[in-house]
Amino acid sequence: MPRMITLFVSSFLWISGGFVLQGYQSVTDINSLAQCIAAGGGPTYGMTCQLPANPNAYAWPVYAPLVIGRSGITIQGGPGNPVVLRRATQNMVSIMTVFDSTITNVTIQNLTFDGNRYGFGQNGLGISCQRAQLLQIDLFLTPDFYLPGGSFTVKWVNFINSPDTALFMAGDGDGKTTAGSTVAMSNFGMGGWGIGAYGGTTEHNESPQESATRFTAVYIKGSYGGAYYNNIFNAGTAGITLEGSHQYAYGNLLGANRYEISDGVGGGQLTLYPDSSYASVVGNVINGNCWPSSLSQYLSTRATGCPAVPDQYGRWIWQKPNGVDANGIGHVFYNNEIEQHMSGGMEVNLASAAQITISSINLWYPQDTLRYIEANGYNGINLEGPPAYPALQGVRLDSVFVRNNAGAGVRLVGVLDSDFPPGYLGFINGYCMTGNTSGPSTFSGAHPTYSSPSTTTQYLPLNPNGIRAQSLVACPAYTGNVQVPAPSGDPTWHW
Amino acid sequence: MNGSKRSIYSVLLLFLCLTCYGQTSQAPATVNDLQYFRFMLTTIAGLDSSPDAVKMVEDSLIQHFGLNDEEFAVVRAAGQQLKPLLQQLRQSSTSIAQGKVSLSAADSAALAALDTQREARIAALSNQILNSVRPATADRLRIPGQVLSRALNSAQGGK
Repeated sequence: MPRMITLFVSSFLWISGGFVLQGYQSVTDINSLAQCIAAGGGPTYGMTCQLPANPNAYAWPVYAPLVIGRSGITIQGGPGNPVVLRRATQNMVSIMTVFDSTITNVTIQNLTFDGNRYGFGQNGLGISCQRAQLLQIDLFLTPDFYLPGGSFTVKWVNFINSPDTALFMAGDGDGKTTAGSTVAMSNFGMGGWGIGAYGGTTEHNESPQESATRFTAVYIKGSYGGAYYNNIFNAGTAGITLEGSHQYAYGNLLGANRYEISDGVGGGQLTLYPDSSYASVVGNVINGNCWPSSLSQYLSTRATGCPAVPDQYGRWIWQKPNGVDANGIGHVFYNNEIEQHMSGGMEVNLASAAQITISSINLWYPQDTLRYIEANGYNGINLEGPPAYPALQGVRLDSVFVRNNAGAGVRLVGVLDSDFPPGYLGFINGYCMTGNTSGPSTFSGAHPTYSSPSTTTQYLPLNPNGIRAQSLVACPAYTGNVQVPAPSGDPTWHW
Repeated sequence: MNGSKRSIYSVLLLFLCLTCYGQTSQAPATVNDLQYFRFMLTTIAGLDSSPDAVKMVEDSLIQHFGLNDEEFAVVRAAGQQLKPLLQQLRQSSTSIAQGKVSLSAADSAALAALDTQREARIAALSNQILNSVRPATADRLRIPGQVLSRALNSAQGGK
């Protein structure tokens, strides 16, 4: 045994900022990667499974799912050229997945997952324009949608051409020492080299829209996990869907998601499901890019070669995405930029919600850049309870900055107070609202305790130590470019 | 504008901004800081992304970090400075690996050396950025790495 330990210790060689394990075999191709990540891969390959770029092609074709069968490993691409894993079998559910729910603490980094939605037919053929979701998930980090999963970290990964959902993860943290599953600093639908929506199986440089994920880009269940500082573009439905507890969406850029509207519903770029709870959505930039700006644009064939999808009743009604579609209990939204959506900035409670906090101050980082909910085609924030929607008990609107929306800054319908600490009683600490076509706020059947702030141009900031100012100060003068809505053709929209 | 002119222009911009702010030097980027700088710079350099998407990412940096015009130019120039190196490394990687069924140990070492070169350049450019922007902006640019590190280590989501 001591001899083995000596051999093990002496086998470390520091190269290029990482450990290369001498004495272990190297991963040289897809087959050896599959062996390395499998349950029995440790003695042969060690704890790092590093796949080099394919020396003979741009991508590695993946004919059968790569199944992660052991915990605690790192799976990464490199060195050298980008390492691309491309689906090579039409009916393969996943490019990479897990053996069972016990697999945990795995890091996946420096890879590209190419879902190859056009590789088996274009313009609706093959898997290019699927109509049902969650049939194919390129990186599927639970054994099943309804089973718990382990904790995974996905970092510096690029996702293109997903025929369905790009990334699905779960994993439970404990809120103290263990994180749930996390995706960070990764790109989705930003274009790239692959088999595109036209030109047969010849590779070319795809546009961002062409490389779009057909349905959801990032779908996270579990607890204490989340999405941090990702760039997520052009997903057919949500850029991020959270369905768990104590999850985080922090610092992401979401651009023009709900591009294909492949479920036929306007919906939100960031969606919190009704069974989600205590999520923190902080410091994100969510830009709708005024898509689709007309009924004809909505009805147009997309850059993916896919036709528009009617709603669930088969109607061809202009579907207008919003920025955030929030349901569930106990969520906080701090200082998100939500702009240029054809519908509103935030829609709260279309299914079920309670005890919601919205602030334009990042209470975790008071020095953060000020951000606005602005230039959206409907209300900046729409909080809607009965009669049209379920009960909505408890909203806390803390120093919200909402401007230039084609509707009210904040619209409250049928919203009730909640005394649950710290109290969800309407507007607190002032607000900054200008240029909203229906005024700062409107009320219908909603009588929050704090419904009428003394001013719409003053608020109570936090000092850098997180202490609230004692007296109102003027809203900050904004010297940069003020976002204005794009011309819409909608007669109810002034621009 | 060809590559060499663009590089000269980028260096001039960086120099101008350094002299504009004339500030004390920032602490070097930490391993945590570099997590985000690496992501930001390789995304802006944009070898694997469409220019349209890269522009959206660049524009969002103003809203994410409160960059002013000069700072925006500094960050953008750093990304552009990285691009020729990434292109060169890609060509070298291809020529090392081309036509081989599998890589020899020498090939792997040569490729790893190229990666080391890239990471060193990213670190240098990150420090250049930190020393070329206002201190408050530098602090904000360090936040993502810190937030992620805290999220992964303490499960507090960056709080």
